[in-house]
Amino acid sequence: MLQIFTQGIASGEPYDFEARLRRFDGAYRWFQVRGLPLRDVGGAILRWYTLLTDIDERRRAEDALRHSEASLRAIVETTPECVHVIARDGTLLSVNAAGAEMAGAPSVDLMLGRNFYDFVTPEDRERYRAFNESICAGQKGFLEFDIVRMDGARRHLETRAAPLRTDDGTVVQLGIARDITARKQAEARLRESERRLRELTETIPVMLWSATPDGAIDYCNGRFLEYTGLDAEQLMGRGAFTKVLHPDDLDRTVQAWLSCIRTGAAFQAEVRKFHAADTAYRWCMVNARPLLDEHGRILKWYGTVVDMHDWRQAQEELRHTQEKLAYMMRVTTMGELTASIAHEVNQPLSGIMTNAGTCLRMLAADPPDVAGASETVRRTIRDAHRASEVIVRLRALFSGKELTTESMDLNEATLEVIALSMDELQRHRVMLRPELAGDLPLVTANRVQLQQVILNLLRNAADAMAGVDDGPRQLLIRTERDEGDRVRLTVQDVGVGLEPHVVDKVFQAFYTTKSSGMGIGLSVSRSIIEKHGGRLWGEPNDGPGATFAFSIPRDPARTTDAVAV
Amino acid sequence: MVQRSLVSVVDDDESVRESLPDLLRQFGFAAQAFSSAEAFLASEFVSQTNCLILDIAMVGMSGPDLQQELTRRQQAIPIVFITAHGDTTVRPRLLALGATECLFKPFSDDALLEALTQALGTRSTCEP
Repeated sequence: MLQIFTQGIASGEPYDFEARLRRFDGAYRWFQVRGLPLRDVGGAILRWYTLLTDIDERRRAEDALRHSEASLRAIVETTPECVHVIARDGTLLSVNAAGAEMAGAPSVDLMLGRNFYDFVTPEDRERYRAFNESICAGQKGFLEFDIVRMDGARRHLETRAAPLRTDDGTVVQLGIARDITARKQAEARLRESERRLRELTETIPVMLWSATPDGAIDYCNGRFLEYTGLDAEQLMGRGAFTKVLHPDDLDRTVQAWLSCIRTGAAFQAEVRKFHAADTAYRWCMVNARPLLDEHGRILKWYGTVVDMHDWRQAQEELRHTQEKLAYMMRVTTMGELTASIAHEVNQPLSGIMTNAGTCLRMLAADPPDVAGASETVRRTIRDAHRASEVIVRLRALFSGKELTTESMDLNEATLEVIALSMDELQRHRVMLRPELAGDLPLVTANRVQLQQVILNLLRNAADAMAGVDDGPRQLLIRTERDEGDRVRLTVQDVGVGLEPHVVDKVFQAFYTTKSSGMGIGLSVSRSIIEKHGGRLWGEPNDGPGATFAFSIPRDPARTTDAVAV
Repeated sequence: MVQRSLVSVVDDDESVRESLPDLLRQFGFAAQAFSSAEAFLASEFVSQTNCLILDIAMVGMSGPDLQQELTRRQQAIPIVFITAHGDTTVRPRLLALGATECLFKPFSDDALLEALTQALGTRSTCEP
């Protein structure tokens, strides 16, 4: 200071400097010191004029401003948000470190002077340009837009901006931008999740609802509203559900629901629910479960309603069909039996008619052939007896009356059947091998019926082997003692065999694997054997063919327990 | 004397074999009865038979089997089928195969006579 002063005096140049001078009270204050020399005509300095101006207030204000600017700069440099100044043409005039980082720039210098529009994504660029120009025209503003960082990553920003007048009078944008990509993504995820849930609840072909812990409905999905034809308000609240229930289902449903609300038990009910589309009640299944908090208190009820009307009707129809089928089976059984009986009766009836016709003609002849007529009448009577016997036999078979039983030798009965069918068996080229036990006890049974069964088994076996041409048609018939004081008869063939899935079916009436035959043989045979307290079964052989066998107690009367089983 | 037409009866039911020939003779025919198709084929009467009364369901060779066999042998004998099974669906099938008639047991003597008359055509010498 003194130097400036001394130089000034020495050179005779005016001086001007600022310096602190001590005031009367001892405090130093800033003064502007200006000195001007007064010269004579010859240029010699006559004297110095010195002007002292107290500038202490101004100096303080300047200091405060400098200090304030430094703080502001510190704030701007440390804020996590991007603070930038952008010219009207988009040139980035100033940006803080956070801004550089946001844009993926290694340093602030690399960004300055570039056009900020280049950072904005092409689809947002025009919008941003308009925004910037509006700010520079003096408007404040807010904008969300996307940028592409220098590393290629895309970010979503929001910026608040205000016009800033520069020293040269132009207006630029002062903006503060914030990266809201994460928030946007979270919002998008939430929206997507909500959209999916809404899609799910609105497209699922089930009615959904929820209720408060006290049972008031507080949500119904669209399907629910559409089904009932009511709007959400009509269905909300306590007891609103009852509006759509069939009056007959009301009491029990409400009772059950109230009980579940009290106890927290899962709710389930089959109810008839009003269906708007056809203004009718349809059967629905209603289910609900409570959502509990950690203390087990009910927070909310969530429920479904499923229309099961068609399913229920299909079930009913199925049951009806089954009943009808069972009825048809019975009718068919009757029809087939009738055909069988008709055949048995038609044979003697035919004889009766023929003989009667012959008789009339003999008597009408001239002279009448009385001897011949007598013969035809005798045959007529015999055939009538035969028809009557058929009826008696059928009644014995199907009336369920007590069997007339006798003590009989199963071996002997079997040999009789073999003798009767020998012709037929030979015709079928069947090689029969009897293995009859020598120590077989007598059985109490109906001889004719047992012989019918044996005959049926032999015929089936012979038929089963009709197609066997590559080997002997071997047929084994065996009698033996069976455990539990029983006797057993087995017939084994090498024929077509027995598929496992038809083992049970072959015993059903009218099931047959033959092209001819009615399929009642085994069914009738089984009922005969069961009437004797026995069992008739069939099974495939290990090799070709099948084995059928029956086992009967020696005396059904003494083994009634076995019969009952 | 005019040669009487021979009507052969093939049926495994004995009462038919007993009664039908008598009736046929009353009609004025000669009659022969056989208990099976095989017995008929083995007999000397095949070529002499003018008409065959044939049971459908027989053990062994059935009535339709015999019909086929005769066709194969080119023995054109008119056939009247008889059956005790009430299945009416067989009748059109048998007629289509060349049978003259199919009677369901029991049938009347008039029905039989009508069938035979038809079978024997104008060669009939049936009037008693």
